[in-house]
Amino acid sequence: MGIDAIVWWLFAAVSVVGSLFAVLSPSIVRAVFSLLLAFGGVAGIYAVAGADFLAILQIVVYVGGVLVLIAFGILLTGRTAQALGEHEVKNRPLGILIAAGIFIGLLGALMKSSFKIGGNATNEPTTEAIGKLLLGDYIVAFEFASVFLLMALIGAAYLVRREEA
Amino acid sequence: MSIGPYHYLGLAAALFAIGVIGVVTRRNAIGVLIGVELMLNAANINLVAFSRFSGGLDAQIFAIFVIVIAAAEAAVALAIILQLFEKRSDVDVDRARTLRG
Amino acid sequence: MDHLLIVAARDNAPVDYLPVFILLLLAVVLSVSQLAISWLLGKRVETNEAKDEPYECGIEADGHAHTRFSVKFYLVAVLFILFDIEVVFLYPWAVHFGGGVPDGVVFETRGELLGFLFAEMAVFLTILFLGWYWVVKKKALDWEEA
Repeated sequence: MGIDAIVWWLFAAVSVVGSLFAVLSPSIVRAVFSLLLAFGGVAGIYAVAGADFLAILQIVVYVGGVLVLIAFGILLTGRTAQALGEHEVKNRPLGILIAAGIFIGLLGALMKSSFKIGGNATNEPTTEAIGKLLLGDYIVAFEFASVFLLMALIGAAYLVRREEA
Repeated sequence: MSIGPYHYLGLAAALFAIGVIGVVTRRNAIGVLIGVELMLNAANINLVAFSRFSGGLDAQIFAIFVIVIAAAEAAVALAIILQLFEKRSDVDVDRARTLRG
Repeated sequence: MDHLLIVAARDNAPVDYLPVFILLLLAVVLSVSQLAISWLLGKRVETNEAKDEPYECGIEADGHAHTRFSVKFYLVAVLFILFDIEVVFLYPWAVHFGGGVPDGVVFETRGELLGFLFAEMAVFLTILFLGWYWVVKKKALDWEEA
């Protein structure tokens, strides 16, 4: 096993363990910090896969943005975090059974598919090529992303401001 | 044994299934949101793997937009959760059954 | 056997992990050494009940730390994530702006390409700052009135 594979398995283990804690932990605050671990592991997977820009994006947007947002959500609904307590989870055996079924189904589909091997993967920096694609072929999606973000901002601001009006 | 497409897709399947556990079993709406974020991450791992093993960067562009939309989705979802909390003083998805405000 | 057929590349691209390991080593050494130095040089203070209080003197702390925060903090977080994503989009744009070469089909000269890129980003930023303007206009960021 080469060093690439070792690093890959390390990040894969980190993300799987982190996400398991994130969904199984009875405390929602601990779940969020486990999610940090899971997102970090996924960022590492991106980095090992040569997607350097996406790895940074994962850390900036998910770890720096979405996690902060979720932490704010927990702060603002603080009382319930204690009120639910051990009643936080429900039907866990059934849920795990469903998830296991989905996992086995996905693995089965994966085993049935084949990949034709040809060419070689590279580890070139991707940022400039991504910029070229983003501002060339995908320009409509790029511009629409700003409209989308504007919609999200106005929607979120409207929802949280309404109570004070 | 070097890491191939099967490894990436298998990892993504595992993360997706774990996300499903969160969505199905959590009663706290924020816990459900955490499960959804994990599932979106699993989808992104798939896209990155396809980009890795087919040479093009287009899949990574898709992944960028998935991340952006996930962030916007989290912002709106948490605003809805906060509004729910304001109305009902809890964020239990099992008890939020009515559609009236 | 051919439910999903993609042409896959052989992943044996060389990666140099030496810089990563050096960085990792540096991080560990730095954090451990700082803890060790403060442990070695610092004065040991035995704790007692008064020491463990949040405030050592004054009125005794009352209530729970888990009080609710104003919902305005959330709006600040949403604004932050919005402009976080804006910066993320700015970065590949800037790299492309700095090193982009005209393809000769759509853009004849570099000036045309740069003008187009600039216009694209101007539209993007204008739309985003409309949201910021709306939030300011709605006085959502005013802290005094509430």
